[in-house]
Amino acid sequence: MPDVSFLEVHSENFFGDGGQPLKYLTKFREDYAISTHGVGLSLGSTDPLSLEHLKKLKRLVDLIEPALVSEHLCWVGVNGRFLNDLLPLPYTTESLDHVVARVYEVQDFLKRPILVENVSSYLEFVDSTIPEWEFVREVAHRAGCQILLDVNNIYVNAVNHDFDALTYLDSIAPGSVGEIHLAGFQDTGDILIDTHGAAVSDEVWKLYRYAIARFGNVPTLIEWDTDIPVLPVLLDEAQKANRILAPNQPLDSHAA
Amino acid sequence: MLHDTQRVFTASLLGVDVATASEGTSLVRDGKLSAARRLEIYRFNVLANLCGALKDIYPVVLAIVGEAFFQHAAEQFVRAYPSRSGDLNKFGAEWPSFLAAYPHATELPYLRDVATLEWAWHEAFHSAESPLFDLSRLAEVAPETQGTLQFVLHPSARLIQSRYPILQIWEVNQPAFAGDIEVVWDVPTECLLVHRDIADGVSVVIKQISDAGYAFLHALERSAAFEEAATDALDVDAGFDLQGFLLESVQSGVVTDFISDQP
Repeated sequence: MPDVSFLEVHSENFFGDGGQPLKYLTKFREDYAISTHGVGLSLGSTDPLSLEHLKKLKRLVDLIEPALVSEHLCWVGVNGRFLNDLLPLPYTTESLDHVVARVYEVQDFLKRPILVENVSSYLEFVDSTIPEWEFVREVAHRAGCQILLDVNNIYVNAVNHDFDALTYLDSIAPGSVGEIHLAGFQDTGDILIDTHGAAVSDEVWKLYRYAIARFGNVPTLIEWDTDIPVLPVLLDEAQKANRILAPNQPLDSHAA
Repeated sequence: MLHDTQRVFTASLLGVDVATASEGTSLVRDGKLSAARRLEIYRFNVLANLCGALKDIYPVVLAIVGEAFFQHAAEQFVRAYPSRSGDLNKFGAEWPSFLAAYPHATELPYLRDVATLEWAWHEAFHSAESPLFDLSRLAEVAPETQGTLQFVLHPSARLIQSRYPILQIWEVNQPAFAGDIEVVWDVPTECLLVHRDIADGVSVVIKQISDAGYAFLHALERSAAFEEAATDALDVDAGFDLQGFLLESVQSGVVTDFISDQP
């Protein structure tokens, strides 16, 4: 059994009523803490939250009792039509109020706090009036949830939208970050694409060191879900994160 | 305002006409890249995700028609039958009927049935668990009321009928298949049963059953009483081994329970 302290899965992959996915996840749960990471709740959509989706998430959460339950600060469709992609929001007071209310709704339904993750993006809306880092900070502050801080997404967005990644990290309140994601991106020459298909870049490791110094020993996950390497390569990335986490403290990190 | 942004953005990504496709650019800031180019990245990602989900569910159709054909058809499907759930495992149920009407697939008339088989496999894979049949309960039923019992199928059980040899087509298109890929086309109507294997509880089995067996299980599927299901099966084949088939269905976990209206 690989020596990692938790595993993370996409929640929706376990929304079925039975069979192999749930059987295997239940088995892994015997040896590992599990984090369930949602991609389809559409927190930022103006459609009502799907009761069916919430019920399936709650069923999974009740079964697996995950250490962490997270979703994305994004929308994935509207008017009942889903694009099934993590689409960025216009960062406005309207979006902020909306997302805060929705996080409340989800937490009330699940009867537990969730974490919300900052997404990578390849565009900014002309309507946006609030810097992304303030938006993320305010959602956590007002909704009483924690942040799943994706350091790679911050780097990708900093390059794509020309801002300083350290300004972003400095804006997030210490104590509000409950998990960190690291991943690799693809540089197309004129934009960075968040592919989760490569090793973590040196620049992102630098930001990660900065983040750990600011936010403390936060459970860290390496996301690598396209072009998946052999397991030792993935475990080696997790080990790198471990070496950066402060020594002599209970280790909360790792991933797969 | 947020709603309008999302509505226009969605339409511009999957819109079929150029006007809706370009409307989205007014929502997006230019910069190093134009707004149109930025939308194009999302359009590409959205199509890649949705078409990828279809490819995962329909690997045999993909193997038959090839990557380029599949991608082209899938991009039209995504627009005609949009995803309606945040759970991608729910996406693609209409792919078989889409293929049946797809003009470029008229020379592959069996494609719809192959896709139907793959969707049945997908549903069976994710379906609910069921306890094993409790034979001791059956022993308590008075013989004269046995005909009124409703036998219950496992939640994973799916029945498919095809004029084409779709099981063989499915088999020769499996990645691990090594053998003669010659398909025998001239076959009588094929009756297939798809269900989860009770031996390991996770793998999905596809097996060919007799016409009478199909009629029997088909009746159970619509909650018919045993007597009616038996009549349906014997109408198809007077020599059908009803007891043997029922016993085998119980042993293989296809029939899992019965409902009795007797107290």
